[in-house]
Amino acid sequence: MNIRFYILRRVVLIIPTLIGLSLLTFAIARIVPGDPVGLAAGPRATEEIKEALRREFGLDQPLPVQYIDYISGLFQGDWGQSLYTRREVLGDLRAFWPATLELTTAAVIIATLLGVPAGVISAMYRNRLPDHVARVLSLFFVSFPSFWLAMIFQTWFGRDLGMLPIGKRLPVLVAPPQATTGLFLVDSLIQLDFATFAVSLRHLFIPALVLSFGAFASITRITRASMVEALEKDFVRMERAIGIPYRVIIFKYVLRNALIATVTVVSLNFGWLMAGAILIETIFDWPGLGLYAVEASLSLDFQPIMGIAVLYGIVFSVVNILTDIVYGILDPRIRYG
Amino acid sequence: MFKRTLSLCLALSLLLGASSFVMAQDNILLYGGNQDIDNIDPATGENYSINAALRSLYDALFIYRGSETQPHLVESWEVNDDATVWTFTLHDHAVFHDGSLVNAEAVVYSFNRVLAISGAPSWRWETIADENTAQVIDEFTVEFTLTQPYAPFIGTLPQLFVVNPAIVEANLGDDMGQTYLKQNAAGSGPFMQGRWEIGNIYEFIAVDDYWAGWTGDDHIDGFFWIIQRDPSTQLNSLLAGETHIADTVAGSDKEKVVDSADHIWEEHGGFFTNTLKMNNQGEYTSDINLRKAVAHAMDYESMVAAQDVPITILPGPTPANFVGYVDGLDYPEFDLDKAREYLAMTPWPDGGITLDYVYVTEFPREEIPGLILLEGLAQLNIELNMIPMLWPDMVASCASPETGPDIINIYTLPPFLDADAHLYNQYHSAQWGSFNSCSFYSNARVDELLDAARTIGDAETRQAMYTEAQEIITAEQPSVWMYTEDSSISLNTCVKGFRYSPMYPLTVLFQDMWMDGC
Repeated sequence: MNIRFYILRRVVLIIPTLIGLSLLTFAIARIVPGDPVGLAAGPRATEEIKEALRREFGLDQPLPVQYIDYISGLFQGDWGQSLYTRREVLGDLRAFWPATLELTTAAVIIATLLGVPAGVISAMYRNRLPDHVARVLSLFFVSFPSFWLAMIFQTWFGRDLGMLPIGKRLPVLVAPPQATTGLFLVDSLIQLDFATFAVSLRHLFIPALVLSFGAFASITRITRASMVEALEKDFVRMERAIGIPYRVIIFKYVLRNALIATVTVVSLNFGWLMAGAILIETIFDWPGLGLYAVEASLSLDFQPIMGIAVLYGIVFSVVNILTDIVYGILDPRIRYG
Repeated sequence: MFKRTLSLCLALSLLLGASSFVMAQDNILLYGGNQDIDNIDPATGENYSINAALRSLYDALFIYRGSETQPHLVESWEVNDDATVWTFTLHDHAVFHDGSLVNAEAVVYSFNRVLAISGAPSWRWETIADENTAQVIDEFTVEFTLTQPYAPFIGTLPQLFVVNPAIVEANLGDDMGQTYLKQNAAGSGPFMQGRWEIGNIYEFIAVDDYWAGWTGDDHIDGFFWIIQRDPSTQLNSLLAGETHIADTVAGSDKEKVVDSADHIWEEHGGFFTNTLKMNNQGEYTSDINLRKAVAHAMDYESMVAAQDVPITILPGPTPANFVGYVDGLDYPEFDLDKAREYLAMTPWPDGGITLDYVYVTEFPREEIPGLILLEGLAQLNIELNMIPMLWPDMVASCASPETGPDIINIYTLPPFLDADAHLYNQYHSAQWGSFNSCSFYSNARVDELLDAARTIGDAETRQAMYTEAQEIITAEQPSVWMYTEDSSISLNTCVKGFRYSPMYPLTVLFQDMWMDGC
């Protein structure tokens, strides 16, 4: 199958996926105990005020009508309004998502840059000291809760050593770069504002590093396992027999074979990290979607919760499509069908 | 490979090390606040962070400074004998940020807008005012004719922030300007809005020629409200010098602040009051002796040790530092023998009953008192059924005595500095249906006294009425009076002008602050 047709087919398939996701989120949001209108209206609100709020947000309508209204609004760019803050959900997502995207992307890059070499070295020196070190490190990072490491790193590097900032994307007194993408690193480079780029990088470094630890562990372990498996293949023995240097065998042939599994783990981690950035965002005051999601959940604010679920659904789907494309690049034998 | 990695690390360290931190700037105060400022419309917004913003962007007729209610936009005032007609003369030089005068028309407009929208702050006036209450007498005189006598009226006025009618009218929309004012100020306060990054930081810029002048030795050029939700981050930012004030550092970190030479820990008794409201119309708790038994089965001292915040045990219905407090009331202490004596006078002398205890889900500060009480009541053969509940559902359960639980843990904060603010909404039978009065207490004499105290201007006479009312309330034990939470705030020593205000325990009055050597 032509790759363009394959991508088009996958994009079209996103629509029923999102409808299913929104239906599920809608149902869950409605069966959660509690009265969101009561919460939004405040403890002293009269029944009349609450009723007016229900009417205003269409919550007095039957559930199927509410859902159809929501889904039709979704396709017209109206993702609803927060019951609590009264702000447009789409506007909020536009404001908060770039921070989470920047953090997650940086974390995935760090995890990949550290995890793949660690996995390779571990496999190359199987059951020797480098392998043991890499495995212990993986176990350490996957075992320790990220929020604890975040607090430790923040306290050491930020407070005690004064080497790095405590939190936020930029110092308070520095205005953010003019928003093109919302990603400060990218926007500051577009503006050729290297000072802001450097300051932004300092702020990103520790949160992204801490967020990357869990992904580092899984990438290291899967790369190692795939490498070990590939190293035992016949073609490796043959390549060694005909005198191809070991490093060339490792990086040109074995790693490429092993990377299919690593790419899958990297793409899965991208989604997991985005959803799991909540604690890191809280500790580092990172004004991203994680904090927004927490606030919305605590106030039973349906529309933002559903908006976030739909956005994450889109991100997961897009990342999956990209992963499939990368499979084809890594292994031309893979056919799209 | 190794060389490349080393070069990359070196480049990264140079990049990270080269850019110096942009830290605090002279005379700009950096405030680490736990809560977002998601609404600055005076007609709909009200919580501690919103109030901090409103007090900076707007002016009100009166202002809380420390423990006092002081006139602000008001120059002088008069009240008639039965406290129904209040006449205020305004300063004639107060100006909005666009240069127009803050006059009587603006006050009337703002008051009527609050009533018409009926948002969070409006409950103060809904039962005592209507659309005809506020009237313009002349450009700088405004008169409020209340629908019923209300002596504590002035106490409510620090929350009446005056909006600029011209700006509201220009952005009226179909919701009386609510959409616009939610994120845009239209006031005359000591600060104007600067950078306004939702969910992140909010900048306030000082108005150089602020009409009321500045009360401190100096004043700040502005401040940033920096949202920091995690208490440990607040602490780290404060100690690293990235903020000057942190409003919710955990009590367990007090030593770290105190041990730092550059910081101080301000701790004061607050008015945030915790009570266990017993349903006075309930199957079991309608019995006064059972209520007394429950109150004596509570181990108050254990609670002091168990709570994660410093607390002060309540000496009766009113905190000792609040207006209207009565010294020497015979309030119950932990005494299981007395509890048994009272239980013996009930229809259930051997216990064998189960009481429901409702508290906010996942809120240990409300769960802990329940667990302590559970242990005490177990000694009386009374079972306590712990029921966690979401707050809106708790509020809904207080709608009527039939739905009210046997015992419910409720926090209250008196909305203004007057005995009425603390007693009326908890113990007047007209307040049944609100979470404040979830004890469904009813006593005709108490109602009479609380009503009468609202109509009298003389402080001594009022205090005598509140004393009698509290004596009756204490004797009838409608609730278990638990504690007030002490409030704390951490400041860099270079920040000057802090004065604790129990009405705003978590934050500061920014217009009175200045900085020296930051």
